[in-house]
Amino acid sequence: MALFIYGTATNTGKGFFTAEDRRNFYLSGQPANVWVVGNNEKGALWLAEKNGVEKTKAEAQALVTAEVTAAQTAWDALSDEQKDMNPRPTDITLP
Amino acid sequence: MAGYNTIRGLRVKYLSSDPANSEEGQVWYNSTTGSLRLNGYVLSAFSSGGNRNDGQNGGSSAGTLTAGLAFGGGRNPNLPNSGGLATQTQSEEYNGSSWAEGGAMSQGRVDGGGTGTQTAALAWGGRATNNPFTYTNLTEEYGGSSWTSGGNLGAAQYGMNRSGGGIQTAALSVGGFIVSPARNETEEYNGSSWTSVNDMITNTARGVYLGTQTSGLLVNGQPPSSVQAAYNYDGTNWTANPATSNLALLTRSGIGDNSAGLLMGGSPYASNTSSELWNGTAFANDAVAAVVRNGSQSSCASPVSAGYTTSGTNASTPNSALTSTEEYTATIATNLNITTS
Repeated sequence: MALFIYGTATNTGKGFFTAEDRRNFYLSGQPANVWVVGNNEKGALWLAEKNGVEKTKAEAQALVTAEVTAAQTAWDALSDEQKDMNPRPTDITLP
Repeated sequence: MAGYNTIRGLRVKYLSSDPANSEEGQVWYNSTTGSLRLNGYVLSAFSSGGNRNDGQNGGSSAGTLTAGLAFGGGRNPNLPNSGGLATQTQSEEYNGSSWAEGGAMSQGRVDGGGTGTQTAALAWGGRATNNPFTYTNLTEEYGGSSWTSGGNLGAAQYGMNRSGGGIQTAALSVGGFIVSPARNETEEYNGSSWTSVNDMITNTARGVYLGTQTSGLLVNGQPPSSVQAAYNYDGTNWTANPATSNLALLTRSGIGDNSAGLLMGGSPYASNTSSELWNGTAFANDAVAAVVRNGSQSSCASPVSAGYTTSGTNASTPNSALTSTEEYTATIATNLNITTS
């Protein structure tokens, strides 16, 4: 069985995930509203309750990569002085 | 299989009831309930808090979980380093569940100093514009609804402690940049003016300061690479603390003081969601946040067992300041059953 399930969901704020949720399953928020959720009964239920749209790992990765690529393109266009202030955005590889 | 007494050199006490004055970490067997018991297990976790009206990357903060204040910073499309100007002047107030607009500062600033409470906060210094880079020495005081000018910092600079360093009438500013490298300047604010005091013993910027004007701990930051080092301040002198944080990070946010504190997020690790708990002697890895945050804001005042981290950016997508909040809670579980299998 895969360790994670993937989906998109909008963080609605307070109560979107609770401390109990965090103890019950792995949860990681990524760019593009992508969430990586521990693949157990409670994790799957959480994503469904949050009106999440389940994605394959490849689909989720593509959404995240598109955001990172846009950030890298913006960084590449900066002046050298501005580049010195922050490193180039790094790639994200979903677990 | 080795028994508990072989591993720990101690035997588990066999008691008919829970001891009245058990110590933190003590384990015993309750023969009446038939359960193995433990006192002092810290149960900590991050949960989602209210979403911000607007994100603020590299902003400053003050207050507590139920009376918090976030101010300054920058955001898309005028983020710091994006070539734009317009660092943010706005502040937002948190009540433990939702954010509301507060008063606007007269000076927009990123990477400025910040401390105090929701009704008596202090903002000083920071990067005022990004193209070209300019810095400010302006200080502003928040009274719960509006900002008024205070005494000027000794130099126009940025990269000081952003969330913590005393109160509005007794604040501490340490380190920062005018231009690289980082500085070792320490200044104290008395409610109307800044005074230069003894320098930090090494250059530092973008670290976390936990404490007051007379007693605190500075940890992490950069001179110029991120460091794990920690330093004590006793109101007069800086000394090296033998403890080091587990990760070498900068632009973290922090809660608490030099007897109990929490460090959250930070860079340069793009995937960093860590937190570290400080117990006055050592750092220990603690709960993991759900969202990567760099340059976030936080409640800064004790208690460390209830706080938040908000906004900032994911270092892989720095053009988007985050609008989410995560609340940290820690409880000491007493007389807890231990389940074995």
